[in-house]
Amino acid sequence: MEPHALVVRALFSYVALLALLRAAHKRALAEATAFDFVLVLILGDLIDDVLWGEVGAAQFVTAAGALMLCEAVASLAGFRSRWAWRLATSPPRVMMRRGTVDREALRAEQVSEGELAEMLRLEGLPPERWADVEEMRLESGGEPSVLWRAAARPLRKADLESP
Amino acid sequence: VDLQVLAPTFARAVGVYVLMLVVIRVLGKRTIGNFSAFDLLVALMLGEVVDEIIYGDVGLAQGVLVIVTVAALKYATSWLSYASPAAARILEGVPTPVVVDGKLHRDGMRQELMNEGEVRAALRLRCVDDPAEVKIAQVETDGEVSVILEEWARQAQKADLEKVRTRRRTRKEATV
Repeated sequence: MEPHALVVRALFSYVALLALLRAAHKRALAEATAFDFVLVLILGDLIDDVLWGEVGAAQFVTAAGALMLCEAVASLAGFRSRWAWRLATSPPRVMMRRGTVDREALRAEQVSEGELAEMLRLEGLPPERWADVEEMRLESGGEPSVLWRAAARPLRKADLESP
Repeated sequence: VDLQVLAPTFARAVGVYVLMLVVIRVLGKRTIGNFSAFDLLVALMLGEVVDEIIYGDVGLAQGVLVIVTVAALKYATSWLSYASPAAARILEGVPTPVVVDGKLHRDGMRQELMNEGEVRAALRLRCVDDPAEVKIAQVETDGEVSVILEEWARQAQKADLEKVRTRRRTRKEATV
Protein backbone atom coordinates (compact mmCIF):
# COMPACT_ATOMS: atom_id res chain seq x y z
CA MET A 1 0.00 0.00 0.00
CA GLU A 2 1.12 3.54 -0.67
CA PRO A 3 2.54 5.37 2.36
CA HIS A 4 0.04 8.23 2.09
CA ALA A 5 -2.83 5.73 2.01
CA LEU A 6 -1.51 4.23 5.25
CA VAL A 7 -1.37 7.63 6.91
CA VAL A 8 -4.89 8.45 5.77
CA ARG A 9 -6.17 5.10 7.09
CA ALA A 10 -4.44 5.61 10.45
CA LEU A 11 -5.85 9.12 10.68
CA PHE A 12 -9.30 7.86 9.79
CA SER A 13 -9.36 5.03 12.34
CA TYR A 14 -8.03 7.31 15.05
CA VAL A 15 -10.68 9.96 14.51
CA ALA A 16 -13.43 7.36 14.08
CA LEU A 17 -12.51 5.71 17.38
CA LEU A 18 -12.29 8.99 19.25
CA ALA A 19 -15.72 10.00 17.96
CA LEU A 20 -17.25 6.60 18.74
CA LEU A 21 -15.93 6.57 22.30
CA ARG A 22 -17.08 10.11 23.01
CA ALA A 23 -20.50 9.35 21.56
CA ALA A 24 -20.89 6.11 23.53
CA HIS A 25 -20.32 8.00 26.80
CA LYS A 26 -17.06 7.94 28.64
CA ARG A 27 -18.26 5.83 31.51
CA ALA A 28 -19.19 3.03 29.13
CA LEU A 29 -15.62 1.88 28.70
CA ALA A 30 -13.61 3.65 31.35
CA GLU A 31 -15.38 1.84 34.17
CA ALA A 32 -13.37 -1.20 33.15
CA THR A 33 -15.54 -4.09 34.13
CA ALA A 34 -14.32 -7.32 32.60
CA PHE A 35 -16.86 -7.06 29.82
CA ASP A 36 -15.87 -3.52 28.89
CA PHE A 37 -12.32 -4.71 28.66
CA VAL A 38 -13.33 -7.45 26.22
CA LEU A 39 -15.16 -4.84 24.19
CA VAL A 40 -12.05 -2.68 24.00
CA LEU A 41 -10.03 -5.69 22.90
CA ILE A 42 -12.48 -6.43 20.11
CA LEU A 43 -12.37 -2.81 18.98
CA GLY A 44 -8.58 -2.94 18.96
CA ASP A 45 -8.72 -6.05 16.83
CA LEU A 46 -11.13 -4.45 14.40
CA ILE A 47 -8.86 -1.47 13.84
CA ASP A 48 -5.74 -3.11 12.55
CA ASP A 49 -7.54 -4.69 9.62
CA VAL A 50 -8.56 -1.20 8.60
CA LEU A 51 -5.01 0.07 8.94
CA TRP A 52 -3.67 -2.56 6.56
CA GLY A 53 -6.56 -2.11 4.20
CA GLU A 54 -7.94 -5.62 4.64
CA VAL A 55 -11.44 -4.27 5.21
CA GLY A 56 -13.02 -1.06 4.04
CA ALA A 57 -13.65 1.96 6.23
CA ALA A 58 -17.42 1.60 5.95
CA GLN A 59 -17.25 -1.96 7.18
CA PHE A 60 -15.17 -0.96 10.18
CA VAL A 61 -17.52 1.87 11.13
CA THR A 62 -20.48 -0.51 10.83
CA ALA A 63 -18.84 -3.18 13.00
CA ALA A 64 -17.50 -0.80 15.65
CA GLY A 65 -20.70 1.26 15.57
CA ALA A 66 -22.82 -1.85 16.11
CA LEU A 67 -20.75 -2.83 19.17
CA MET A 68 -20.95 0.64 20.64
CA LEU A 69 -24.68 0.76 19.96
CA CYS A 70 -25.15 -2.52 21.87
CA GLU A 71 -23.12 -1.09 24.74
CA ALA A 72 -25.16 2.12 24.76
CA VAL A 73 -28.46 0.20 24.68
CA ALA A 74 -27.26 -2.08 27.51
CA SER A 75 -26.24 0.95 29.61
CA LEU A 76 -29.55 2.64 28.99
CA ALA A 77 -31.50 -0.51 29.84
CA GLY A 78 -29.45 -0.94 33.00
CA PHE A 79 -30.24 2.63 33.99
CA ARG A 80 -33.94 2.41 33.24
CA SER A 81 -34.77 -1.00 34.63
CA ARG A 82 -33.58 -2.66 37.79
CA TRP A 83 -34.19 -6.04 36.23
CA ALA A 84 -31.93 -5.37 33.24
CA TRP A 85 -29.22 -4.03 35.57
CA ARG A 86 -29.35 -7.21 37.65
CA LEU A 87 -29.07 -9.26 34.49
CA ALA A 88 -26.03 -7.40 33.17
CA THR A 89 -24.03 -6.72 36.34
CA SER A 90 -23.32 -8.90 39.31
CA PRO A 91 -24.77 -6.93 42.22
CA PRO A 92 -22.59 -5.89 45.20
CA ARG A 93 -22.46 -8.60 47.86
CA VAL A 94 -21.64 -8.34 51.55
CA MET A 95 -18.73 -10.70 52.27
CA MET A 96 -18.00 -9.88 55.89
CA ARG A 97 -19.96 -8.18 58.65
CA ARG A 98 -18.47 -7.13 62.00
CA GLY A 99 -15.65 -9.63 61.72
CA THR A 100 -17.93 -12.50 60.72
CA VAL A 101 -17.18 -13.91 57.29
CA ASP A 102 -20.19 -14.85 55.17
CA ARG A 103 -19.09 -18.23 53.79
CA GLU A 104 -22.16 -18.45 51.59
CA ALA A 105 -21.19 -15.18 49.89
CA LEU A 106 -17.58 -16.29 49.52
CA ARG A 107 -18.72 -19.42 47.74
CA ALA A 108 -21.08 -17.45 45.48
CA GLU A 109 -18.28 -15.09 44.44
CA GLN A 110 -15.66 -17.86 44.35
CA VAL A 111 -13.40 -15.97 46.73
CA SER A 112 -11.32 -18.09 49.11
CA GLU A 113 -10.78 -17.01 52.70
CA GLY A 114 -7.15 -16.38 51.86
CA GLU A 115 -8.17 -14.03 49.04
CA LEU A 116 -10.61 -12.26 51.34
CA ALA A 117 -7.84 -11.76 53.89
CA GLU A 118 -5.63 -10.40 51.12
CA MET A 119 -8.29 -7.93 49.98
CA LEU A 120 -8.65 -6.68 53.54
CA ARG A 121 -4.88 -6.46 54.04
CA LEU A 122 -4.72 -4.28 50.94
CA GLU A 123 -7.21 -2.00 52.71
CA GLY A 124 -4.85 -1.95 55.67
CA LEU A 125 -6.89 -4.39 57.78
CA PRO A 126 -5.22 -7.31 59.55
CA PRO A 127 -7.58 -10.02 60.95
CA GLU A 128 -7.55 -8.52 64.46
CA ARG A 129 -9.16 -5.36 63.08
CA TRP A 130 -11.90 -7.07 61.08
CA ALA A 131 -14.32 -6.51 63.95
CA ASP A 132 -14.06 -2.76 63.23
CA VAL A 133 -15.77 -3.28 59.89
CA GLU A 134 -19.54 -2.90 59.75
CA GLU A 135 -19.80 -4.29 56.21
CA MET A 136 -17.25 -5.31 53.65
CA ARG A 137 -18.69 -5.71 50.17
CA LEU A 138 -17.43 -7.00 46.89
CA GLU A 139 -18.69 -4.34 44.47
CA SER A 140 -19.82 -4.98 40.89
CA GLY A 141 -16.42 -4.12 39.46
CA GLY A 142 -14.72 -6.66 41.75
CA GLU A 143 -13.21 -4.10 44.12
CA PRO A 144 -13.80 -4.41 47.87
CA SER A 145 -15.49 -1.58 49.77
CA VAL A 146 -15.24 -1.15 53.52
CA LEU A 147 -17.77 0.64 55.74
CA TRP A 148 -16.63 1.22 59.33
CA ARG A 149 -18.55 0.58 62.51
CA ALA A 150 -19.65 3.86 64.03
CA ALA A 151 -17.16 3.64 66.90
CA ALA A 152 -14.25 2.54 64.71
CA ARG A 153 -14.45 4.98 61.83
CA PRO A 154 -11.69 7.56 61.45
CA LEU A 155 -12.12 10.77 63.41
CA ARG A 156 -14.02 13.58 61.74
CA LYS A 157 -13.90 17.30 62.25
CA ALA A 158 -17.45 17.15 63.62
CA ASP A 159 -16.36 14.65 66.30
CA LEU A 160 -14.09 17.29 67.82
CA GLU A 161 -16.78 19.98 67.82
CA SER A 162 -18.38 18.54 70.96
CA PRO A 163 -20.14 21.17 73.08
CA VAL B 1 12.80 -25.08 12.90
CA ASP B 2 13.80 -22.67 10.21
CA LEU B 3 16.40 -20.22 11.43
CA GLN B 4 16.05 -18.18 8.28
CA VAL B 5 12.51 -17.34 9.38
CA LEU B 6 13.09 -17.23 13.12
CA ALA B 7 16.12 -14.93 13.09
CA PRO B 8 14.37 -12.06 11.29
CA THR B 9 11.31 -12.55 13.52
CA PHE B 10 13.54 -12.22 16.57
CA ALA B 11 15.26 -9.14 15.16
CA ARG B 12 11.92 -7.51 14.29
CA ALA B 13 10.52 -8.23 17.76
CA VAL B 14 13.55 -6.57 19.36
CA GLY B 15 13.30 -3.62 16.98
CA VAL B 16 9.58 -3.20 17.65
CA TYR B 17 10.14 -3.41 21.41
CA VAL B 18 12.67 -0.59 21.29
CA LEU B 19 10.46 1.48 19.02
CA MET B 20 7.42 1.04 21.29
CA LEU B 21 9.50 1.92 24.32
CA VAL B 22 10.49 5.18 22.66
CA VAL B 23 6.92 5.90 21.53
CA ILE B 24 5.42 5.29 24.97
CA ARG B 25 8.09 7.40 26.66
CA VAL B 26 7.54 10.26 24.24
CA LEU B 27 3.77 10.11 24.70
CA GLY B 28 4.27 10.51 28.43
CA LYS B 29 2.94 9.05 31.63
CA ARG B 30 -0.67 9.60 30.79
CA THR B 31 -0.55 6.84 28.21
CA ILE B 32 -0.20 4.32 31.04
CA GLY B 33 -1.34 5.92 34.28
CA ASN B 34 -4.68 7.74 34.47
CA PHE B 35 -5.98 5.47 31.78
CA SER B 36 -8.90 6.82 29.88
CA ALA B 37 -10.72 4.37 27.63
CA PHE B 38 -9.23 6.16 24.67
CA ASP B 39 -5.66 5.87 25.93
CA LEU B 40 -6.28 2.17 26.30
CA LEU B 41 -7.53 1.99 22.74
CA VAL B 42 -4.49 3.81 21.41
CA ALA B 43 -2.29 1.36 23.29
CA LEU B 44 -4.24 -1.53 21.79
CA MET B 45 -4.12 -0.02 18.34
CA LEU B 46 -0.36 0.19 18.60
CA GLY B 47 -0.23 -3.36 19.93
CA GLU B 48 -2.30 -4.69 17.03
CA VAL B 49 -0.10 -2.97 14.49
CA VAL B 50 3.01 -4.31 16.11
CA ASP B 51 2.19 -8.00 15.81
CA GLU B 52 1.91 -7.78 12.04
CA ILE B 53 5.37 -6.24 11.93
CA ILE B 54 6.91 -8.90 14.14
CA TYR B 55 5.50 -11.72 12.03
CA GLY B 56 6.59 -9.91 8.92
CA ASP B 57 3.08 -9.72 7.45
CA VAL B 58 3.74 -6.10 6.63
CA GLY B 59 7.01 -4.37 5.84
CA LEU B 60 9.01 -2.69 8.57
CA ALA B 61 8.78 0.70 6.86
CA GLN B 62 5.00 0.43 6.59
CA GLY B 63 4.65 -0.67 10.19
CA VAL B 64 6.85 2.10 11.51
CA LEU B 65 4.94 4.63 9.45
CA VAL B 66 1.63 3.54 11.01
CA ILE B 67 3.05 3.51 14.53
CA VAL B 68 4.55 6.96 14.11
CA THR B 69 1.30 8.29 12.64
CA VAL B 70 -0.84 6.94 15.49
CA ALA B 71 1.66 8.20 18.07
CA ALA B 72 1.78 11.62 16.41
CA LEU B 73 -2.03 11.81 16.44
CA LYS B 74 -2.14 10.87 20.11
CA TYR B 75 0.49 13.48 20.84
CA ALA B 76 -1.41 16.08 18.82
CA THR B 77 -4.73 15.45 20.62
CA SER B 78 -3.01 15.47 24.04
CA TRP B 79 -1.29 18.74 23.18
CA LEU B 80 -4.50 20.24 21.85
CA SER B 81 -6.46 19.43 25.02
CA TYR B 82 -3.58 20.79 27.10
CA ALA B 83 -3.31 24.02 25.13
CA SER B 84 -6.99 24.81 24.70
CA PRO B 85 -9.71 24.30 27.31
CA ALA B 86 -12.33 24.37 24.55
CA ALA B 87 -10.61 21.51 22.74
CA ALA B 88 -10.30 19.62 26.03
CA ARG B 89 -14.06 19.90 26.55
CA ILE B 90 -14.67 18.35 23.16
CA LEU B 91 -11.95 15.69 23.29
CA GLU B 92 -12.24 14.66 26.93
CA GLY B 93 -15.62 15.94 28.04
CA VAL B 94 -16.40 17.62 31.36
CA PRO B 95 -16.91 16.17 34.86
CA THR B 96 -20.55 15.34 35.66
CA PRO B 97 -21.78 15.85 39.24
CA VAL B 98 -23.80 12.90 40.61
CA VAL B 99 -24.05 14.02 44.25
CA VAL B 100 -24.36 17.71 45.18
CA ASP B 101 -24.66 19.07 48.74
CA GLY B 102 -25.56 15.71 50.21
CA LYS B 103 -28.25 14.88 47.68
CA LEU B 104 -28.23 12.64 44.62
CA HIS B 105 -28.10 14.78 41.51
CA ARG B 106 -30.63 13.15 39.17
CA ASP B 107 -29.73 15.16 36.06
CA GLY B 108 -26.10 14.14 36.25
CA MET B 109 -27.03 10.53 36.99
CA ARG B 110 -29.27 10.44 33.93
CA GLN B 111 -26.54 11.94 31.80
CA GLU B 112 -24.06 9.28 32.94
CA LEU B 113 -26.66 6.49 32.97
CA MET B 114 -25.66 5.80 36.54
CA ASN B 115 -28.42 4.46 38.79
CA GLU B 116 -28.72 5.02 42.54
CA GLY B 117 -27.13 1.68 43.36
CA GLU B 118 -24.07 2.54 41.29
CA VAL B 119 -23.70 5.96 42.90
CA ARG B 120 -23.92 4.41 46.36
CA ALA B 121 -21.36 1.78 45.37
CA ALA B 122 -18.98 4.49 44.17
CA LEU B 123 -19.35 6.25 47.54
CA ARG B 124 -18.84 2.98 49.46
CA LEU B 125 -15.53 2.54 47.67
CA ARG B 126 -14.50 5.75 49.47
CA CYS B 127 -15.84 4.39 52.78
CA VAL B 128 -18.83 6.73 52.58
CA ASP B 129 -22.11 5.22 53.78
CA ASP B 130 -24.44 8.19 53.50
CA PRO B 131 -24.67 10.67 50.58
CA ALA B 132 -25.39 13.40 53.18
CA GLU B 133 -21.66 13.40 53.98
CA VAL B 134 -20.77 14.37 50.42
CA LYS B 135 -20.34 17.95 49.25
CA ILE B 136 -19.81 16.95 45.63
CA ALA B 137 -19.16 13.67 43.82
CA GLN B 138 -18.40 13.80 40.11
CA VAL B 139 -17.74 11.38 37.31
CA GLU B 140 -14.40 12.68 36.11
CA THR B 141 -13.38 12.69 32.46
CA ASP B 142 -11.43 9.45 32.85
CA GLY B 143 -14.60 7.79 34.15
CA GLU B 144 -13.58 7.61 37.81
CA VAL B 145 -15.80 9.03 40.51
CA SER B 146 -14.21 11.67 42.74
CA VAL B 147 -15.74 12.31 46.16
CA ILE B 148 -15.30 15.57 48.11
CA LEU B 149 -16.72 15.41 51.65
CA GLU B 150 -18.62 18.11 53.51
CA GLU B 151 -16.47 20.13 55.90
CA TRP B 152 -17.86 18.39 59.02
CA ALA B 153 -17.43 14.92 57.55
CA ARG B 154 -13.84 15.49 56.56
CA GLN B 155 -11.12 13.61 58.34
CA ALA B 156 -9.92 15.48 61.43
CA GLN B 157 -6.45 16.99 61.17
CA LYS B 158 -3.81 17.61 63.76
CA ALA B 159 -4.61 21.34 63.69
CA ASP B 160 -8.21 20.56 64.71
CA LEU B 161 -6.96 18.83 67.83
CA GLU B 162 -4.80 21.87 68.61
CA LYS B 163 -7.90 24.05 68.33
CA VAL B 164 -9.79 21.85 70.81
CA ARG B 165 -6.86 21.95 73.23
CA THR B 166 -6.61 25.75 73.08
CA ARG B 167 -10.34 26.08 73.59
CA ARG B 168 -10.23 23.79 76.64
CA ARG B 169 -7.25 25.67 78.06
CA THR B 170 -8.92 29.09 77.74
CA ARG B 171 -12.08 27.70 79.32
CA LYS B 172 -10.12 26.32 82.23
CA GLU B 173 -8.33 29.64 82.70
CA ALA B 174 -11.65 31.44 82.66
CA THR B 175 -13.02 29.26 85.47
CA VAL B 176 -9.85 29.78 87.56
